Amino acid sequence: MKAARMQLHQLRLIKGTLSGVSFVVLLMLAGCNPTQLQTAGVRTDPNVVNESLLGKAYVYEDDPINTTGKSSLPSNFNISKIVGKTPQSIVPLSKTTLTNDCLFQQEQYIFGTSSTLSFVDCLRVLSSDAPSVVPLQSNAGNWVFAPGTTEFYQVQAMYQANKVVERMMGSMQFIHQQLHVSGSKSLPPAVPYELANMGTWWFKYLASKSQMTKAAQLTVYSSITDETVRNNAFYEPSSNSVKLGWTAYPGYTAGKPFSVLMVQDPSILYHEMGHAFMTLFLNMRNAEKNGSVWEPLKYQAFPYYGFYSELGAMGEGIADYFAYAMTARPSLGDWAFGNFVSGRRPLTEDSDLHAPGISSAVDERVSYPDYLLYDIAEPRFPFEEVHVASLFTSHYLVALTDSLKNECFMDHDTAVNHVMLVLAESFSFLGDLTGKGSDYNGTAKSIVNLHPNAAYDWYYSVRQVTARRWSQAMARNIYHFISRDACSNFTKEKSEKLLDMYGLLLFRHYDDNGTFSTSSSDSTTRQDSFAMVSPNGLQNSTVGGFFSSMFGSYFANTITGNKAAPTTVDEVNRVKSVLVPKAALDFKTAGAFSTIFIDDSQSFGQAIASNVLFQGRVISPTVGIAGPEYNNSNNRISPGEIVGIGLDMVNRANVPIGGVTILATPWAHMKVNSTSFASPQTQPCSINGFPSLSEGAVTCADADILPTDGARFKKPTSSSSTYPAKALHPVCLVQTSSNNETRWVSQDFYRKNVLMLEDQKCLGFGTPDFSPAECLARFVPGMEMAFMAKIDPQLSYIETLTKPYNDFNLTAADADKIPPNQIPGPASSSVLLLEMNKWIQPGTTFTCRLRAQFTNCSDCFESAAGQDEFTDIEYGGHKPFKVLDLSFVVLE
Amino acid sequence: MNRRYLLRTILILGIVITSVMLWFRPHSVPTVVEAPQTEPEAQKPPETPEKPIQRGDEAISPAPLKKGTRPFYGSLPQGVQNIRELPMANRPSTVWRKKLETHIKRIGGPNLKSYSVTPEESYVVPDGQEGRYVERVVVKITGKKGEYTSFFAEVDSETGHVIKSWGAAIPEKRSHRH
Repeated sequence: MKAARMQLHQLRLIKGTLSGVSFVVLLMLAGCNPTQLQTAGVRTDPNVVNESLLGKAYVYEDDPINTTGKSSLPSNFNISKIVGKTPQSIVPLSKTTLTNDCLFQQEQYIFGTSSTLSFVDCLRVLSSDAPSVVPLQSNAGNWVFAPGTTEFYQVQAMYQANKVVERMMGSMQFIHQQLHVSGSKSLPPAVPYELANMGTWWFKYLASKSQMTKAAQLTVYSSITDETVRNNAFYEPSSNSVKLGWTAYPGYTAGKPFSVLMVQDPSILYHEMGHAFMTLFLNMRNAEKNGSVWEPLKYQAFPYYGFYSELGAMGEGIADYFAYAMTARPSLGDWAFGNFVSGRRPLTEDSDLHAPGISSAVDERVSYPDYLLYDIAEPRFPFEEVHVASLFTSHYLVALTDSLKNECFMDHDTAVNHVMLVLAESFSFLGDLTGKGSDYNGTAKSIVNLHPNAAYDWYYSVRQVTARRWSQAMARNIYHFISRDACSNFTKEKSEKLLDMYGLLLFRHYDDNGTFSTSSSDSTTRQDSFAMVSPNGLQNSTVGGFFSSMFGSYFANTITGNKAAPTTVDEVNRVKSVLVPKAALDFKTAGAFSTIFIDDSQSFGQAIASNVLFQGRVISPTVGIAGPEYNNSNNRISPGEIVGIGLDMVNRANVPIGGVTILATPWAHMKVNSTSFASPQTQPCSINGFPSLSEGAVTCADADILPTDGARFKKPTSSSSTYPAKALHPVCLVQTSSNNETRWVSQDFYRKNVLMLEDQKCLGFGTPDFSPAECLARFVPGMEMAFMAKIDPQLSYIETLTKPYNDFNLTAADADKIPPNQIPGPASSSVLLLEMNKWIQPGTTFTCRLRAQFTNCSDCFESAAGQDEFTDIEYGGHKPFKVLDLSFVVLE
Repeated sequence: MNRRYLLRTILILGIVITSVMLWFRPHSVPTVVEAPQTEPEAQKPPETPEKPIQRGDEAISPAPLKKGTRPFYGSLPQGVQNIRELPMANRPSTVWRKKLETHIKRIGGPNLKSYSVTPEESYVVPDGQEGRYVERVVVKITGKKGEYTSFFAEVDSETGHVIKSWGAAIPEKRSHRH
């Protein structure tokens, strides 16, 4: 009996325990279950609606060309012929206008998937951006409208846009899970763990501090029909919108119907949304915590600099890849562009859009830099343009996806997810304007984009994202997150060989140990930022704190500042990617002046300012002291002129060089002897023998001149302040002679001691960046960088662009010859804008110390083969560049 | 007796641990972020933060700095302990916008068809050893030949001078070869 009572008691106890445990489990499950979205506004009058159509519409899944399988169709094609017979969901039932919600779930260290984060109405569609446009209302609960109407196209746009959003939200969850929870964690990720809290899983950069908790809605304008979008579509960051235009089909004249619209071709919408999501990747880290709230930074990293740039070109290729991710097709724009105007683009070498000689054979890929000027519309003639130069990027990414499918037995979506992972990881690092680079950076040092106060300058000018920086980041992330993790079949060797097929094995190591400086002296204090211990040597992560270490969320490598060796490229795999020494970039034989081409016509000053404005830059030439009114069209530099200067650089190597960048931005080439507000004193550093010590130069050590925060040598506004002791200085020196002695001095010294000019008579006076050291000759901010996509071997930049035309004209029949005025010359992006003070005396000699670099440079990125990469601080000096001493005499 | 005590202890410990885990568990509450209104000027400060405030957040980051009513972005210059001591390089003026518009008209030249300047935010940034009052605006311009772009710009609150610009519209249309 006693035993029975004991058993009963034990049973009760066990039951109680089980109940308690069940309660606990239920509590845990309740806590872990994703919470469904709340719905509201449910239809109250079901009698007037077709239940089966609620929230739905009939849509076309693809463009007319790909749906019908025909190679061409007329511009008045009846769109209703390709509309499907099964209604598709457009928006949730709760929506009365065309808006959708974004849902994101984040993986956590120990508790699994987070509850669903929802951004209500994250996506909306309007017909156009006209102020009078109102949101489309549902049609008795459904979205069925007559094909061809603007209402119909709005619904189409929502269907396709939401497909991209849902696809990308799934990718984002995968990316976060792989990087932070499931993966091997052999490299500290740049994609932040706090993605949900930061809110950077969706667009935040439109939100100012006063609206800091708001994220930005993405708007798609489905069918704008004004001139701004003729044969055009946009991604517009300032409104966070995609604008879809119309096609001027052959025979179109004003007044004819807009029968061909970009919205009829979903691949165009996918491409534009690709720009949006690339922007999202670039800005994943760009929020800062104030108090308890994450706020967006004041500036953001965008994938476009205006004009030509490598990031702009890669941005187009990556946007094309988004279209491929959605369609798995080898081309885009087949209907809206390809059927009527140029603009259709291939995504693989096997596309019949390509010229003969291009194929998927190892040595016939669209490689960098060979195909940067290759225009599929006119392959004979070079063309410098971002869409034209985008092909190496899109083709590499599609080839990478195919490799993952073949080597790792992944289906299309899984392979795309992995490519998106390495893209997101690469861009969230490269675009990080906080400088931190990773949540796991425990050093309090910036490891990317120099310093928060200078990150804008480094990202947008000094260290732009080039094909080299991007491909190195891709290689690093493929190695750590795919080869060593998700798919060991896709080995480091295979990854390097694939990059090399595209000419993208442009680096000697992966820089996966990271780099930062503890001061401006690289020789003694350059540090690796990651402690590259073996993957088995686990260290506690620093993000999850107590729980992450307790439950085993470790990162093998944390950013501690300890020395370590990076992963090196196997040189055997470098076959096609030829690196060229910077000495190959040279002036023409007759010296610097024969290399420059000058436009000092009166019309030029106005034209270039306007041209630049439409590229998104507002330049501010000095008024009164210089200006187009002084331009005299004598192709020389005269007092008061505002002059366009192009450098027709020559490539002395036997292989092409790509991504030539010339900077006239301030840099550390002067030693500061006095920081006094009233009388600052500087001396030029002797760099590559210029100026010589006898000409007034001094020998400078990095530690003496390189600022760690990108400070500029500009005049403080308060007399109680001083100039910075280490700073970036304006680039032009001026020559002075006295007692048979020639010296090179700063413009500030010259204007005070020779010209006796007051501040008010200096260029740039009154601007926030006013520096008396550019009182006399000043490169206009916004036009102090020049880009050249490619220079062919043994040719100059202009010859690269024009020689094929000239060669063609030599043998062409007279009727076929291309008139000289139709042969394209250098692009605006290759021109620097220099203004000269009207008070300069003719005969004055200047030397401007410009810095040049190119992407496939062999000795621009580390001090010697086998050494670690230059730090961001060192990019404030001359070591990563070829210094171009551009001398000229000011003539009357 | 010992066994019963042990089981009860396990039960209590289970409840305590679960409670602690739930207490520390992030995102246990579904979060809904509302869409902003379309016109930036019409936007109002949100009533609730985007995320529920987690324990310890206040201790992690300092409160946001303000210079008067304007938020301060960035870090204070070395030697400046309090934002009230930050010397300013300029003084806000009501004419910055007019000056900016005049400048845009001037450099846009005869090809400029229309333009707009939309103020987004007034704030303060570090500028060397000083601070600077600035405005963030959105500029939109159209040309007579159908050109269009828009971009963000940071503008001096006194002179209307454009200090930085970023985020230009990305067009699909290729520039002309000939």
